[in-house]
Amino acid sequence: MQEDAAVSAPPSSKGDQPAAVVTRGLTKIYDTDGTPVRALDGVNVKFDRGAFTAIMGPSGSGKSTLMHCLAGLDTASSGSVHLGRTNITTLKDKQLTLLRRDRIGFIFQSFNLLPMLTAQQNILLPAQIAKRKVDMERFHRIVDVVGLSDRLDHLPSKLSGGQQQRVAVARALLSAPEVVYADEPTGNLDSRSGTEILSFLRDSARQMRQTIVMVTHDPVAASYSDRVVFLRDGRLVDELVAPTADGVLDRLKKLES
Amino acid sequence: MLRTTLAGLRMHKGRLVTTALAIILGVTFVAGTLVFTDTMGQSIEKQAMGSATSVDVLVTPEDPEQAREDGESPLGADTVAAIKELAETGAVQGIITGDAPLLDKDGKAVGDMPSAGMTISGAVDRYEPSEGRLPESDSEIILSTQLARSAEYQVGDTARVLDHNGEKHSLEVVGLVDFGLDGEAAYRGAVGFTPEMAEAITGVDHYSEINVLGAEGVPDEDLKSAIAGVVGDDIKAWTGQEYGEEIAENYGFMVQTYRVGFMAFAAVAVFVASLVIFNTFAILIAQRQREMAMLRCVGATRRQVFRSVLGEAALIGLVASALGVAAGAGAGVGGIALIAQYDSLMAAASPVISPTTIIIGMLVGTLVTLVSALLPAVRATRVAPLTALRTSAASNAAKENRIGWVRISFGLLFVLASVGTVAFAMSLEPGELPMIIVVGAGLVCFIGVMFVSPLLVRALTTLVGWPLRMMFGVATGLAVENAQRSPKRAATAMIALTVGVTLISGFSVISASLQTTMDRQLDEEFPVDYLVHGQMTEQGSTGVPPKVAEELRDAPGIATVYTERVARTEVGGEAGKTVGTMTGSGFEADIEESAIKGSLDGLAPDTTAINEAEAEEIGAGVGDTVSIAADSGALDVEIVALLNEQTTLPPILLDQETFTSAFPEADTDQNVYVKVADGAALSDVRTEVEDAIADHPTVSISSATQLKEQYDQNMRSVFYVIAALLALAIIIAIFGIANTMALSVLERTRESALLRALGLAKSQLRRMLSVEAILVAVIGALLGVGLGILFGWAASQVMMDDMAFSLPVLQVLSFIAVAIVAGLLSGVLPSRRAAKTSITGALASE
Repeated sequence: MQEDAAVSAPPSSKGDQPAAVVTRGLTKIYDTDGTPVRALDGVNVKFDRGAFTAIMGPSGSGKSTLMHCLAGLDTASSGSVHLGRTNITTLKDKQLTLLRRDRIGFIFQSFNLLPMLTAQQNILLPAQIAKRKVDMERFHRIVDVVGLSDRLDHLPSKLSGGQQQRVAVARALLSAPEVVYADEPTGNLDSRSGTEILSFLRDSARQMRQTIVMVTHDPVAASYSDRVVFLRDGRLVDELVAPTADGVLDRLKKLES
Repeated sequence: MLRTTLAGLRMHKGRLVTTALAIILGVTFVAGTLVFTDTMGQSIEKQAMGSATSVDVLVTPEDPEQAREDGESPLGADTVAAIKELAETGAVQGIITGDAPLLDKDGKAVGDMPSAGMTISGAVDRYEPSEGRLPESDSEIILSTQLARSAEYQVGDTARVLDHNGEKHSLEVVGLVDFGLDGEAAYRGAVGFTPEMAEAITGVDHYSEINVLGAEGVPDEDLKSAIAGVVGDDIKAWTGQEYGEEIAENYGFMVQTYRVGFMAFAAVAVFVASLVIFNTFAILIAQRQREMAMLRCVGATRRQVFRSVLGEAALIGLVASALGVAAGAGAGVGGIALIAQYDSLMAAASPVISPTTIIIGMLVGTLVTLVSALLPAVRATRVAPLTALRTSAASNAAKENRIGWVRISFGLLFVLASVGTVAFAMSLEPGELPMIIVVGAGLVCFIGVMFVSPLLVRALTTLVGWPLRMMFGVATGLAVENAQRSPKRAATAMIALTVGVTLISGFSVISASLQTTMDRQLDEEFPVDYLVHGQMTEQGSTGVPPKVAEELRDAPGIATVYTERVARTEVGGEAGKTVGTMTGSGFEADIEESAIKGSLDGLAPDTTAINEAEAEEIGAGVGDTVSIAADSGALDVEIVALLNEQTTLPPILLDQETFTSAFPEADTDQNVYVKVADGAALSDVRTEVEDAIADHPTVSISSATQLKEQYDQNMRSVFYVIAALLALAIIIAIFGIANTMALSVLERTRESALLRALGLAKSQLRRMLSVEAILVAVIGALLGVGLGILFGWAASQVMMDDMAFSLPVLQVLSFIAVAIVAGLLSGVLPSRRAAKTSITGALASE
C-alpha cells in the first residue's frame, strides 16, 4: 500500500524510523497594510511516524497557519518543512500539488465533499485525480470500519454531518498517505458523531501506523491523541504526552492566563 | 432598503457586468436600427424634395408606368406649346427620356440595360450638377454619378454614346449629376444632353415629363391648375412640393421594409439578452439566499425583498439601456457613414437621433430587464428567514435537480403540436403562407424544447460526456458532473445560444436548398454553353443583329446555333403579348421536353404551342383557335400544345415560316443560343463568339457557369448579411454562458479549493471549467443545428414545388466549431480566476 501511494515518495527507510514531518525555524509573516504580523515565529517541531498528534492553542496562536504550511497549502516566509526527506518549502506550486495528491491526506472542518459526487465517488476522487489504481480490498475494509457500506450511493446532501465527515476520513485514509492533516474535524459535529470520528482516527493511527496531525481547540478531541503540542503567539510553548482532557484543559488555562 | 440595494450593487458589480453587456448589445441593436432607418428616411425625403422643388410644376403622364412600357407618352410638342402660351408660365422644358447606351473605354455598352438618355439642360434646370456643369452645347454631356463610376469616366473625358441607329458619337463629359431617387435614371444610369441632342440621340419625339417655372409672382397652385386646364385627362400636373412628397412616399415603403427587417433581428437579440438576464438574476438570487434570509430575519418584509431585487434590475436596466442607446446611435451613425461612401442616397442627411429612438431604446432595455428579473424576484421572496441560520450550502443543490413530469408533458405537447402544424403546412400548396406556418411551428417547437431543455441538458451531457470522460480523465469527468448539477441554469444558458444557432443553421439550409434548386433549374433552362443577347429594356431586349448568328454558324468548334425572335402584339384580344419563333436547329428536343399537354409533332404553319400561364390568361386550351394581330393582318392559329410555365421558349410559339410572313420586320434575334461541338476547347469557342459580337457594342455573352456564379454570389452575400445580423444574438448568448460560468465558479470557490487541496493541478482545474463551458456551448449548438436543419428543411420544402434539399455540411460543422471556440473563450476568465484563488483563503472563508 505504501508503495502504491507514494509515487513521488523517497525510498522508504524503515530502519531508523525518522520523523514523518519535521520543521526547523518555521516562520510565517503576513504583511497586512504594511504591518508585518508574525503568525509563526521560528517553530521547531517533529511529528513521529505512526503517531496521532494534536496541535492546540488559543485563537490566533497560529495553529491553522502551522497546519497550512505543513501541508504545503501555504508557503513559509523562512525556515523549512520536511515531509520524509523532501523539503517542501523549496517546492514549486506544481510539485506541491503532486505532493498533496500523492503523499498527504486532508480532513477539513466542513465542506469536505463535492456535492455532485456520491459518497463512493468522493472517497475515490483523489485516486482518480492521481490516476492511481485503487486497492478495492482496502477500500471495502475502510468503508466497513467507518460504517458507510450501505451509504455509498448517497449524495452528500442525503448524509448527516457525521456521515459526511466519515466519508472525508475514509477518503483521507484510503491511499495510506505519509501524513493525514485534520483541521478541526469534529468542529461541526455533535459529541456522539465527534467521538466516532476521533475513535476512527486513533484506531487507524494505532492499527495501520497512520501518521495523523490534527488541529483542534477541543480538549476532549485532543485527549484522543498520543501527544499534544501547544502554540501561543506563533511559538511552540509546551507539549503533553498521553494527554487526558483535564490535563489539556489545565495547560490551556495556564497558556491563556 | 434602497441603500441596501445600492450597497449590494456596488459589492456585486463585477457579477453584473456581463448582464449589463447583454442589455447594452440588445439595446444597441434596437437604437442603431432606429437611427439608421430614421436617417435613411430623412435623407430620402430631403433628396426627393430637393430634386423636385427646383421646379414649380411638373407635368407627367397620368400613368407613367404604362407610358414607359408602351414607349409612348401623351406629352408632345403640342402640350409644351399649350403650356407656354399660358400667362402664368415663365419657362417650360420638355424632358425626353429614351435609350442612350454609354460605351466604356473598351467600346462595350455599360451594364445589362442600356443607359437612359435624357434632356438635362434647356429652359428649366431641374437638377444641379454635383460636379462640373450642365451641357451648353450639343457636343457636351453629363453622366449620372453611378454610371460615371462604373464606366470609369471623369469630368473632362470624352465618352462614346450610341444613338438609336447604332451610330457612335464622341461627346465631352462636362459634369456629373446625382439623380438620387429619380428611379429610371438612378437605376439604369443616365446620360444627360441638351434638348436637341437628346432628341437626336434617342430618336424619341415625345416627353416623359415637362418642367415648368411660373411667371413672376404666380403661386405654384395657380400655375398647376392653369396647366391642368389646358392638358388632356391622361396628363397630370404636380407642384414641385407634391411631386417630391410622392417620391418620398414611394421610397418610405422601402425604409419601412428595412426597419421591419432589422427590427426582427433586433428582437432576436433582445430575446436572447432577456434569457441571459433571467439566468443571471436567478443565479444571483440563489447564491444570495442567505443574504435575503438575513434581511428577512432583521425584519424586511417580502414586499421589501421583492422591491429590492426589482430595484436592482431597474437600475441596471436603466444604466445599461442608456449606454446601449448611446452605442446604438454611434453604430447607426457609423453605419450610415459607411454606406454613404457607396450609396449617395444616404449622403444627404445628417444623422437623426430622435427622442422616440431614445425613449424606445430606454423602454426596451429597462422593461426587458425588469420582466426577466420578475421570476427571480418572486423566488427571492420565498426564501424563509430560517435559511440564514442554516450552515450547509450544499443542501440546496439537490432541490434544483428535480425535473417534473409537468415539464415533460408540456414540452411534448408543444413539440407534437409543432409536428402537426408542419404536417399541415406540407399538405398545402407551396408558397408564402405555408412558410409562415412552418416558422410559427418552429416557434411552438422551440417553446416545447425550452420546457424540456433541463432534461435535454442532462441527456446530452451524459451522451457527449461519456466518451470525453473515457478519453480525458478526471477533470473532464468532473466537468460533466458540474454541467449536470444544475440543469436549469445550464439549460437557460444553452437555450440562449440555441436561438441564434437554430436561426442561422435553418437559414443556411434554406439558402443551400434554394441554391441547389436554382442551379438545377438553370441546367434545365440553360441547355446551351453560351447565350448571346442584347441589353434589356422595358420593351424587351435590344436584340442581336442576325449577322451574328450567321457568323457563328460558320465558326469552327460550334455544333449548334439557334436563335429566338419575338414580336409584341395583340393575341386573342389581349394587348402586349409576346409572339415568337425559334430559328435554326438543335432546339427541337428542348421544345419536346417543355410540352406538357398536346403534341408538338405538328407545329406546322398556322399552329402554335403556348405557355401554360399565357393560355390561362387568354382563356384558351389545346384545340382552340386564337387570333394574332400580325403586321400582315389577322392570323388565326390553332393551339396544338401547352408549354411548361418555366420554359424560356417564347410564350406564344409559332413555326418560323408563319412568324416570318406574319412579322417581316422582326428580323433581329432576341437571344442566340450556342452549343460547343464535342472536343472543342471552350476558351477557343469563347474567343470565336467574342469576335462575332465585337462590332456590336450592346451585345454581350452569358454562360451557364457565369450565371451560376452570379446567383451563388448573390445568395452568398445575402447569407453573410443575415449571418452578421444573427452573430450579435450569438455573441450575447456567449456572454450568457461566460456569466453563468463566472457565477458558478464563485459559488464553488470552496469546492475548487478543496479539489486543489486534494491534488488537482491548476491546469486540471482550468481544464475542468473550460470543458464545462464547452459542453454547454456544444450541446446548445447541437440542439440549434438539429432544430435549424429540421425547420430549414420544412420551410424550404413548402417554399415551392420541386425544391431540392441540400445540407451545407461544412457550414453546419463550422457553426459547431464556432460554438466550441466560443465555449472555450467564455470559460477562460472564470477558470483563470478559479485557478488563481488562494487555497487557504478559500477554505477559510465561508
